[in-house]
This record gives sequence, C-alpha cells and structure tokens, in this order.
Amino acid sequence: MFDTALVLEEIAKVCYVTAMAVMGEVGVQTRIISTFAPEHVKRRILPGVCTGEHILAVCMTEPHAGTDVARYRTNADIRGDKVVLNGVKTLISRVDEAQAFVVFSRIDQRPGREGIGCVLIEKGTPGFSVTGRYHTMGGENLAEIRFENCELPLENLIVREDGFRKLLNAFNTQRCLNPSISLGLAEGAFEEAIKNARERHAFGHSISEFQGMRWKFADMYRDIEAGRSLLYRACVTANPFPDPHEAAIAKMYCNEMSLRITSEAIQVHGGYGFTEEYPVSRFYRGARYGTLGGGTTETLKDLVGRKLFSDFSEVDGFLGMKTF
Amino acid sequence: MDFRLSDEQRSMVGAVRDLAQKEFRGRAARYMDGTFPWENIHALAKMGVLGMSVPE
Repeated sequence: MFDTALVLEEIAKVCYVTAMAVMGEVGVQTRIISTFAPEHVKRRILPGVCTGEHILAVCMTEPHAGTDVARYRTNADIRGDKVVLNGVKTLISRVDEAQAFVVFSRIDQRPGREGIGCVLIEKGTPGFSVTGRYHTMGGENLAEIRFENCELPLENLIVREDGFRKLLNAFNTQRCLNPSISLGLAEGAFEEAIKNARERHAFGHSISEFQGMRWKFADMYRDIEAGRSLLYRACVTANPFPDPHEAAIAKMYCNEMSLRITSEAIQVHGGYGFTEEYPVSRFYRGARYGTLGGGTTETLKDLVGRKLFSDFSEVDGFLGMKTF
Repeated sequence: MDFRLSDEQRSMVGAVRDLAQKEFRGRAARYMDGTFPWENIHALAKMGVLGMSVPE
C-alpha cells in the first residue's frame, strides 16, 4: 500500500484528474474484489483492471446519505440463486468509463450499519441507468445512477456477512490514498511556485531574494514535510490495511495542508496564478476534493476524538498511544 | 523509524515521475472538461502501476 501511495503522490504532482482515476483502479473497489470476491469473479474482472481495459467504479454515497452509512436505502434482496438490487447512488466517478460497479448495499433489508454488504453489478445489466450528471471543480465528471430490479447472479454478492466491518477495513486504505493525492498536489504547486519565484523579478531583484518570500517557502516546505511524515507513517502500518486512527490524522492534515499550500502557490504567481493557463489553479481546484471524499474531516475528527477519550491514559500519556 | 525510500521504491517513483513530467504534464489541462485520461491510464497500465492492488 505504501508503494501505491507513492505512485499516486507522484502522479498528482502533475495531474489531479489522472491521480483520481488511478486511485479508482488501485483503491477500495479493487481491494474489495481482491480480498472478498470468489476466485472466478476475480479472474473475470481483475486482469482487465491491470491492463487498463476494465475500469471499476465504487458506489457508496446516496442522495440523502453520505457519511451516515446506517441510512443507506439501496438494497439487495437474495432470492434463491439471484440477487435483486434496487436503489440510487450519487456522486459516482467514472460512470461512463466503468464496466463494473462495486455497490455498498443493504442486504435483505437488514437495518443499520451491520446490514450493509457489497454487490458487483456490470454495465448493461437491465434496470441500470444514469439519472444525473455533475461536473466538478476538479475537472472530472460525477453521476447519479439508479438500480431498478437489477437481477444479478448470487456470485456477485461479494460481501454478505459482517459487511460493514470488512468494508471499513478496505475503506481505510482510501484514507491513505486520498491524502497521498493531497500531498502530491501540494508538492506540484510548490514546484511550480519555486520555479516562478526564481524567474520573477520585482524592484530590481529576483523575488526569491525577498525575506518574506523565503519565509513563505520555508513554511510551505515545512508543512509538506510534516504531511509526508504523517502519511508515510500511516502507510507503513498497513498489514494489509492501515491503522484507522493514524490514517485519519494523516488524511486530516494532508487534506487541509494542500488547500493552504496550493493557495499560497497561487499567491506567489500573482495574477497569473488565477488563470487557467498556469497549472497552479488546477492544483488548487483539485485540492478542494480532499476533505470531502473518503471520509470527511469532521467524521475523522470524531473518530480520533472518541479514541482519545477512550484510550488516552493519564498514566502513560502519548507513549501509551503506541504510534511511535 | 526511517521512512527513507528503498532503492527499489526510489527507482519505481522515479520512473512514474519521468512518465508524468514528460507525458502527463503537457496534456493535464485537457481533462478539466471531464475528458477521461485514457492515454495516461494506458501508459500507467503498461508500466504495471494499475496492478499494484491485485494479488499475483
């Protein structure tokens, strides 16, 4: 997983849209299939993922429920050797390109978070339709999709029992991959900014000679390296999934750091930074995704806060948290 | 605790950097309208990147 994060980080230094597309292929949906699907389903789907012929989309968010997974209404009824899927998912990436969709769904109407499992549906299944489209400020398109009595073979029921816990483990991977994109965007913006600062002159000097500019870059560099430390530390806990709390704080920090850094990088460019002709504006737009997807900052703060009040010991202090 | 990359990791990241800087940078702007970056996906597939989460 660390290697995957490193690759995404490097791609994001240049192209947010490509990094997001690759995260889709190496992220939670592929890991769910790799970990939980029957062998012949893996053999049908995964080789195409490796060659780039098969795009896999993941479907979680519903129009009325994002973070609040317990309120998902999309449901898969098991009827003998078939599964019948009904519901709506929204803000789904790569709907036009994907051949198959990994759908987080309630199973047999079982209530609450514990009732959530996962099915695989392939494009072209009768009853599958695209009912809405959105274009994001980051560049990529999202869509709303509807399942109306979609009949699937039973083998497409990928996770049935103990679904939420299993899926959350896989989902914690996303909490290291999403911030690797944030880190890459910040680094890419920094690289553009430092190049600009070396070339730009004002008042007879390169602007890189001004103390205020040097301090700005020192702050940016420090923040990027702090984010790297948190993220890489979370990544090395993966066995195969990362520690949820270390991933949470890495994501919280890197997402918010990338907003600050990309904004500062625009500031270094002056008015040109505000135009589409300079890449920094794309980094800034892409960075805004981080705190929204893969677990909002607020959800993660809740997760970490609960752990602190349950586990932080006044006797052992930070040593007792065992993060180092 | 040392998070410095191994030689193998450094080489892998270097190869991705080379590809991204030389090929992806020049076409990044064209994906802002929702166009899917197929060329980049195929280039990364050729490099083996897309199979990173798939067991052998």
